[in-house]
Amino acid sequence: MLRNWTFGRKLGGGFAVTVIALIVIAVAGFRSAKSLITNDQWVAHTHQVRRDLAELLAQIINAETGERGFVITGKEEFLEPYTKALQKIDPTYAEVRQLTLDNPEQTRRLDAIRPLIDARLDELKRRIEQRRTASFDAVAVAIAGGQGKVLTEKLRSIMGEMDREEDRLLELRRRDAEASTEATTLVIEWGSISAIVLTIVVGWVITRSLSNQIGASARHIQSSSAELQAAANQQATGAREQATAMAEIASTISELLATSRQIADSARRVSQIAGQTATAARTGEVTVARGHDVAAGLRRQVDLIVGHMLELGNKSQQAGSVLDIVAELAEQTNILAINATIEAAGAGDAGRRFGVVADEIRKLADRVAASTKEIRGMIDDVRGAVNTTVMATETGSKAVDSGTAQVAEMAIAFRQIASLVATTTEAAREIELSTKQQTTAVEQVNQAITGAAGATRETEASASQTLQTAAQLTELSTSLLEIIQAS
Amino acid sequence: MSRALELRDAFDRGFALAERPAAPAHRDFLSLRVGGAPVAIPLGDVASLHADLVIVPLPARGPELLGVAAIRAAIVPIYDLGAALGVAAAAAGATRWATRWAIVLRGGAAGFAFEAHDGHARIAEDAIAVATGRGHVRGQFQVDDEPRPIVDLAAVLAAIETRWRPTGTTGPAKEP
Repeated sequence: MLRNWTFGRKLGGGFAVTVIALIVIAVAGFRSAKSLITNDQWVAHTHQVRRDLAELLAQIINAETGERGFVITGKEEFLEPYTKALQKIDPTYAEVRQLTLDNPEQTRRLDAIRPLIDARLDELKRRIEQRRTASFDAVAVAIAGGQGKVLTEKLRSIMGEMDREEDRLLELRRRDAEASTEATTLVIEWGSISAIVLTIVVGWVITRSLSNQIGASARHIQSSSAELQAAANQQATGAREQATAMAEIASTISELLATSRQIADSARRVSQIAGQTATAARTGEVTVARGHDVAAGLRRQVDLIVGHMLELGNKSQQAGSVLDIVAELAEQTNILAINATIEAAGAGDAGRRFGVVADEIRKLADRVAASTKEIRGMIDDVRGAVNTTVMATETGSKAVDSGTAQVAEMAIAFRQIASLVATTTEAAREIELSTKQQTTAVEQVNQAITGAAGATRETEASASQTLQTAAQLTELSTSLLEIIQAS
Repeated sequence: MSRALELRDAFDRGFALAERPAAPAHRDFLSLRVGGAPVAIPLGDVASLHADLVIVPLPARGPELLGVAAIRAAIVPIYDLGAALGVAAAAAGATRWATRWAIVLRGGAAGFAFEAHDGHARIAEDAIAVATGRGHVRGQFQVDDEPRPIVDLAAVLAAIETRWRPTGTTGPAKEP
């Protein structure tokens, strides 16, 4: 239950217990003090009664003293004590009676001594009156009769009882005062001890509870501050990295800005060059039209060349046919010569001269065959050259056709180029305008990045400050924990 | 001077010069190609040379016989010289009817067809290396650093006949 109490409630409860203990001690002390005071008042009252009784007895004795002096001397001046005593006896008696109203026994004794006092005073008064008219001796005989002494002895006896009664009461009140003083002392001592013990217990309980609670909170603060320190450290690191990244971004943005300006300049130059290109494209279109006419003339010339070459090829083929006949004749001549040589060899000496002729014929046939073979090679070369030329010419013709078509396509292309260049010019202008707008936007972005970089630096500084504060908080919580644990 | 004039001068000089003295000992050969390999046939072994000879094919037991041909009113058996020499046995089927040239042995007993005719060769005796042995190669000479074996066609023909003639008979080979 105590664990759920707040600090104020715990402290208030502790102080309340202490205050209650103090109140109990104060009430007890007050009651004891009041009893002591009351007892002291009664003691003073008793002393006052005893003083008044003594005064009353003294006044009676003073009256006797004045009566005796007057009786002895007969002089009036010796009656002064008697006169003063007569003035004080009644007030003193009344005061004693007033003081002893709470005591019926003392009141009864006072009632008993009143006639004795009056009788004694009447006795004194008669002796005084007697002395005025009689001599000393006569009065002395009356006094010697002892009536006055008896009255005085009775007064003394009763007043002695009263004094003893007051002394008894005084003893009784002294004991009450001692008992009250002892009780007060006990109340003060045990109350103080109890209050101290209670205060110590309450203080220990509150201190322990608060120490546990504050210690737990301090440890929690320490843990939280450590986490906060780690988070602040991480935040500081992140802020530094972010600051670095922002610096790189700012540098990149600056480069981008420069590049955008270069692009704008390039786009402007592209626009200018595109205008020049459009002019060149129109000029090229005219030139291509002229080239188309030249290509048509070239196509006709190539057709003529192809015709001549084909005719040359036919003639070469005819020459080859004739040469085939010549080669056949040469081969047959060679065969005949060989056979003639064979026959001549078979004829022996008779055929030797014939063999010589046959040999010459064979050599001649060999030469013819060689020449035929050579001519065959030449004709083949010519035919190959003709075929190559025809093919090349046809290829050239096709190339011319292709060139003509390409020239036509070039004319179309030039027109398209002129159109596209116009579009390109417009696009380049749009690019220039867009690039200028982009440059402006990039400048704004650069300013924003610069501001963000400043904010990042501030964040870094704030994170550093937070880190420092977290470290201080950690130290503070550690110190608080040490203080609490030390206590 | 053009080549035509040179030829004419050489031809005229042949008639103008005196008859040449007897040439040193030499031999005449026909240079052939059989299966791409150069071969020399002594001119004295040959009766005649023919080109584009019409050969009528005949069924035969061996691959050498191509058929028969009519030469100067005589029926002459024509053999494939490449198949007979064994140089073109593997390609005999592909080249059997591609032989354009043919020679007839002296005496007209048989003819041999071959692929190509390189011409006439006159070789000095001392340039001929004579071979010893029982094969159909008699010797060898070189023309243009190319060795050319001298083939004895009679021995080749005898080998063909020995190969396909049944034992104990003297008649022509019969189909089994």
